[in-house]
Amino acid sequence: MSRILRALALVAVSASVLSAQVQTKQFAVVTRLGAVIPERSSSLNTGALLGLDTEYALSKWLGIGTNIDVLRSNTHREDFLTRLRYGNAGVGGGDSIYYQNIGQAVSTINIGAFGTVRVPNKTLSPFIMGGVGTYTLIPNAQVNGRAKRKTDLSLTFGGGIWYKLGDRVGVQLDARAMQMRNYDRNFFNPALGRPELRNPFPEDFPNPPAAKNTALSTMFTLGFRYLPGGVGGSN
Amino acid sequence: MASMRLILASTLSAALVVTSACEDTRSTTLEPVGALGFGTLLVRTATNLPRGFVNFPASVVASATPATDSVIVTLAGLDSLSIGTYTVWFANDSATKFARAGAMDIRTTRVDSTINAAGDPVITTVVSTVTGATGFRSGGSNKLFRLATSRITSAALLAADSLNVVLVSIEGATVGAAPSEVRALWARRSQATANAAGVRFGTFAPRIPAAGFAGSPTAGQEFVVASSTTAGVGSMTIVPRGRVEVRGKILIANDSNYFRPPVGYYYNAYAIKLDTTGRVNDTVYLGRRTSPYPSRTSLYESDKTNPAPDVVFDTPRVIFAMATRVSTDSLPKANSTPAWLNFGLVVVNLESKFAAEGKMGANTVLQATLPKSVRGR
Repeated sequence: MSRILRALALVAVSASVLSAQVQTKQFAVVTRLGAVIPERSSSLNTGALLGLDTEYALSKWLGIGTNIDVLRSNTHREDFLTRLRYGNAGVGGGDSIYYQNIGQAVSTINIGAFGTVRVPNKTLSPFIMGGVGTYTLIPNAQVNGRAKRKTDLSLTFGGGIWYKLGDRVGVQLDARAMQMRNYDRNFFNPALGRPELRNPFPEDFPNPPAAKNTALSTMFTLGFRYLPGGVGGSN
Repeated sequence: MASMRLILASTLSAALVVTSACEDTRSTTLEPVGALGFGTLLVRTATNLPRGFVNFPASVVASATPATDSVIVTLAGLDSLSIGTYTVWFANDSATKFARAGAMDIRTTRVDSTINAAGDPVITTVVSTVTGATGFRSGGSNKLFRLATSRITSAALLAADSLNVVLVSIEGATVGAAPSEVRALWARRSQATANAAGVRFGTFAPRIPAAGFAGSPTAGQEFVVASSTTAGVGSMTIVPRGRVEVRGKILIANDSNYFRPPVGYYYNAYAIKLDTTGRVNDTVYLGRRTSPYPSRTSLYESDKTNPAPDVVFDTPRVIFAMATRVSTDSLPKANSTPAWLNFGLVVVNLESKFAAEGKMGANTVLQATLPKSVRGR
């Protein structure tokens, strides 16, 4: 919840500077800041993201570009219950078991190519975009006991508005849904495949929602849009 | 002015993002979730299942002197019955004809053990005899029964009939011409050594399984849970195993690898409370066994039907997994502070459906000794 509030605050403090721009045959660079809200079954919590878009305006209506998004969030640690066991159940004293939720911070890097369709106006230009790319999950090496990565296909779809501040600068507010394909939340389970994972008290701990092989992350960002070089183009 | 506002907004935004990204909700080993758990293993006990042996008459088949053709049945490990009666039957080897044994002389040997003031065990043996009985219903883990009868007591067994099977069933108020479906103990003369045959405990059917007594008969064949030697020493041919864990008020037993119970029997569990000297103080019934999480289906009827096909198998006739989950909220005797204080043992029993439910019977299969961490001393 605190992350959501921060994201809303982020939008609020920036709301007063909105305006937009559209240039044809022109590169634009957008640096973005925002929040990401993963779907619950992904076992990732709401986090923050930094993004960088590079876009070339093919025409007044169409554009293509590349994006790189760096997401940072923690896993929903209640989904990863494990045990720390001391002693030996086979001897008189039995064993003593600490139950523990193992959470960790995860960085996600999403790199892709996208296309945009926009409706340019003098100051405010709405647009929609769609793209394909690849995501890489980078969990915490210390928690997992080793460094590991997972890379697979990602699909992105979204929309937003540009607001012109000047001839070469503007801001961009957008919302994007990024679907990670072949997703497996067990990738974040440090005890996967180990006996410590067994839980004889399933009724006494919250069960995670059903797992899915895709994970949808909704991203809300505020961007700073810049046209480098001041070359060509008009609305 | 617009540029200043933009710079200010960007700075604040970046600060918020960085703060969000660095929020630490990670775990440490100093933050366990809830109560600590204490576990111990369920271990198979020295068999205390129904057992014994039968001495057949020397005459193999038809007898010219039935009055002297005695049949001696020695039994131990029986439950006391609250309804029904243990009844002895004679049958031929193919069990196509049954004849109820008549008057029996029953000698009961009860062995009590106590600890004297010096701390030494004292064994006391009490023998009692009943003559002319046609059945009995008492039992107990410390009782040995010697049933003596002869062919002539059974009016239905003609002199020309063979006597190759002795069967002990549990009968209701009205006894029919053949044993009831609860035919849990029997011995075959064809499997005897020097006229003595070990008792088999399970579900009797006329046909002997061709594959031996491996616990995997087909339908209609007999099913053996435990068999005895001719000295009456019983053993189970399968080794159940499991684990008990206590966490706060919750006690969980997860165990596996059981035979399905004989018809008329079921598995249940008890917790045993000890006194300050470690002696048994009380037994608390933990209920009928169930299948594991998530279904937790009662396995009470698994002797005849299959209530949980995910863990109860028909071939072989085994229960792959069983469980018990109880909270002291429903067990006043265990609802102490801390919970389960003074409870030292958890046992899994095989019990007759004709015995009083909740009163611990004689047939303990698995036992776990709860650690001091649970019992408090």
